[in-house]
Amino acid sequence: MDTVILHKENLNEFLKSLGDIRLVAPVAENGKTRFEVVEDVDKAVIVLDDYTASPKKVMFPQTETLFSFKNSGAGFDTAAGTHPPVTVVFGIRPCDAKAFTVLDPLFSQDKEDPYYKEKRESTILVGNACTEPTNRCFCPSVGGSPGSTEGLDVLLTDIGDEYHVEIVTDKGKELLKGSETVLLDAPKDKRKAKEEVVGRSLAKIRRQVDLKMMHEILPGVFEHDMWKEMAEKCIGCGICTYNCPTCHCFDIQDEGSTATGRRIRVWDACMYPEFTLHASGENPRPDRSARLRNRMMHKFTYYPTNMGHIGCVGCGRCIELCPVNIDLIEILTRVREVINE
Amino acid sequence: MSSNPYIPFSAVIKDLRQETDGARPIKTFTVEFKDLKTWDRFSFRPGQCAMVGIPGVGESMISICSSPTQTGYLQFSIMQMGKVTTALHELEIGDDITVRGPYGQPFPLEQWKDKKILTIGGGIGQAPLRPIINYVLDNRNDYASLNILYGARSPKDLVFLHELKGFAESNTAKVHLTVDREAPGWNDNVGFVPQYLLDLKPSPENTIAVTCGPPIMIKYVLQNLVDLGFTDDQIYTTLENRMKCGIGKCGKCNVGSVYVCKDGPVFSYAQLKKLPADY
Repeated sequence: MDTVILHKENLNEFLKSLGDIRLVAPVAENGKTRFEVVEDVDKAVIVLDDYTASPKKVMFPQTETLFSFKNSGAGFDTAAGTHPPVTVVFGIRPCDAKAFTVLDPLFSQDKEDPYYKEKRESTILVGNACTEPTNRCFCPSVGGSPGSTEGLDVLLTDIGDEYHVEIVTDKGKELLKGSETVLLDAPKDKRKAKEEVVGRSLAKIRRQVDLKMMHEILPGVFEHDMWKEMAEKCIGCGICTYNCPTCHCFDIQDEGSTATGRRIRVWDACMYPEFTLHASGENPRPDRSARLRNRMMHKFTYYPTNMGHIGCVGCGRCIELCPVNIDLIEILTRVREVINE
Repeated sequence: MSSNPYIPFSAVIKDLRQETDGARPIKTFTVEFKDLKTWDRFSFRPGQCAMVGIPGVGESMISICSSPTQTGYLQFSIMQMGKVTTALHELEIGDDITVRGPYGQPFPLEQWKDKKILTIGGGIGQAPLRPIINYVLDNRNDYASLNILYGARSPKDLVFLHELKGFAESNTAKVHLTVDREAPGWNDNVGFVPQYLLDLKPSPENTIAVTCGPPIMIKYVLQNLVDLGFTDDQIYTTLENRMKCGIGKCGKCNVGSVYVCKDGPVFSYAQLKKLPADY
């Protein structure tokens, strides 16, 4: 892996040197930080220490056109095709980058999802190592690290006045070709500086969860009343799914009329009763406890069974953003208590 | 377009048959693909489903109720229920629809060769069983016998009645019909499907039993088949769940770690028993 150094004052120069590429970065707007397209690097307020948003939508937009259609009288004509522009996601967290590696097998298995695939292939991920993990982070418990390069093409680590820049993949190497003037050779001791930063971050992570054998343990508590206890305060708002970097469930809806319109997919949430409601009125997951249970089991039993990896990267957003303080770690801890009872 | 699994094929309605009337009428749609080359990419087996839709309204997952031995067309028996099926019911012969698929795992009819086939259906649940019946009748020498047990609330709620009576008259299959309550002019059995199954007492020997119907009916049929001595591997059913993508990605139709759209809808009772009771 190649390593270089970028002086902080050269950050904007660096971003401009990436060339004629669509840049997506965490920008502050009206007090909120979101990953948005940056048109002008000098005007945008890029915020690298706000952990609120994940850039999941870059690969899997909240609303996405599958195709448009027109009824020509001689049948339906459909037009699809996205051809997404080459995009750099700058400032993505290691956990959120790992989330894409979690989602990759789902979207590529069996029948490949062309919308996700095209965007994934034309996107380069330039990460930002976590220096200030939040009090809800637990990535080490799920095999992550604040300085992990997993899923990333380039990783920046703030080591004081400079960024330590790791070029992880060929895609990353290709991206940085035009940035030579701002990227300096890295002396050997910079590696140690990065490790120290990551070590300090790790020391700040307080929360942890024991996932040993969890995928096998969970089915054993399927019928237990603990799900009713845990879901008692759930208001079914679905915020846990909307902010989860690995939640991928969606609905397909039609807009327009039968003459002309578009078929779209939109994020959906397993926490809503309508998600599984049959037209007959039958609902296989009729109450919040069944839905909460399915969400937990999907992430920690069903997803690893099917995809070989748990559906969680330890970002803790579901914990932080839940309006009634439902806590994934508390649930998994309770599962262990119940099994040991 | 060729590799995009979300883009449906264009099809046209060639025939419509009103199977039942009432608040939730059932119609059988016979449809043909607009482009005959579509058949190169639409090879199906009995038990598989397809997304039937109208652009601008939506799509519904419907079991294909014709058999692949009936070539050149597809049939879907559709009950008017929600938004999409209501719009489908308003269509006429010659109107366009879309078809996407086929999806799911079929009934293992190859494995069932030389066996006695028993179908046990209730209401619209007879539709997913019909391709088995048609397939077995078209390959009659490959199967030892065909018994059809079918029931509905009343005689006017029975689908495919004309063809079932035809099978009985020509003695190509044994047909056992039942309705929940006595009705004028009804000379067949009266009683619920699970009870009629016990009364008929089919021998489990070399037999495969396949059931589909309302969840409560399936539950008791499964129980009664076990009581009659059928093993879990001799019993099959076909599930339904809300589905959108059809390819195991949208997350709606899972039962435990399996997706009804791609791992189902056909399950043996042995497979079903391993799933969480979440269906």
